[in-house]
Amino acid sequence: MSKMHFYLRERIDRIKTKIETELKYKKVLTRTQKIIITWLVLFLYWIILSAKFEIFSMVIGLGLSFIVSIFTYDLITKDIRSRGHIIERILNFVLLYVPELIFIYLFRLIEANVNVAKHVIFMDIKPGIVKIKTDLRSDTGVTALANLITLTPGTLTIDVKRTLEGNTLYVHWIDVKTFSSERAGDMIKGGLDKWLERIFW
Amino acid sequence: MLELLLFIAGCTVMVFGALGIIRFPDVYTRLHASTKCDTGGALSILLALTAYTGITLTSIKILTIAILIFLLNPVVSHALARTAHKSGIKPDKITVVDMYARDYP
Repeated sequence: MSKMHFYLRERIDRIKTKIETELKYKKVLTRTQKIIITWLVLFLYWIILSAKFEIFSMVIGLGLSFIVSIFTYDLITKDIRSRGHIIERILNFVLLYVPELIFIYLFRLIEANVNVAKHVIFMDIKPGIVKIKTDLRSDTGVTALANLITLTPGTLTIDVKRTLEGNTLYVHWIDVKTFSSERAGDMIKGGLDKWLERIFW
Repeated sequence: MLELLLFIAGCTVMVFGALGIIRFPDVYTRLHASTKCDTGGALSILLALTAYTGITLTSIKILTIAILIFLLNPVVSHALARTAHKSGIKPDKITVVDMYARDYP
């Protein structure tokens, strides 16, 4: 170990700390918690689609959604980070996180719509593909971030590449203000990155 | 009153989006105009419909359609843009920088 080159040792140390932080972050839910979350989501969808509140239909919905959730519990809840009790997490999600996301996202949406309408009228566009970095590591988290970026008018995610330092997103931007990766990331992501880190790892 | 405001805003956004599809120069900038149609226009028109019907089961179903548009619209536009770039369609001349073609030629 002592005769190793300096740059090699530094690289090994970096990889070691990265593995430790990933193991710390990767506390997934247990199996019963996953089944309960999937069951709730499927039963809500059953109620919306059937639109009846009789006892018979409710019992059939509970049974069917439980059977389906036994087979498919790993699809939507694979990357959720577990912290605290599950009922507390669900209440936090419904009462705190979703209104905060709507509040953050609504103003960005209105501002971006006005900006793109202005670009349509005056044609003062300056398009380009820039790359931004993100700290999210799981598949579901990166997918949610890329979808939210694409949904904002004016930015469009083209590709996602995974490297050792994290994930890199290539974004087509209709009005390029800066070429630097960090400042472009701050402008494009806003508060969405911090919001997603509380749920996914 | 609220539903009238939302409806007029949605129709205005739709008109600007359709104008942008004609006026913008290449594929990628035209995709911006079409995503703006869906998120700004269709979502506010559907919200105007829910505000018009009040809180019933019909309005909850309309909100379900809005959530499905919210999930499906970015996936489709991302797939179109990535396929266009992979199959060799160059961006227009006024493009400032293209880091994706520089990193993965």
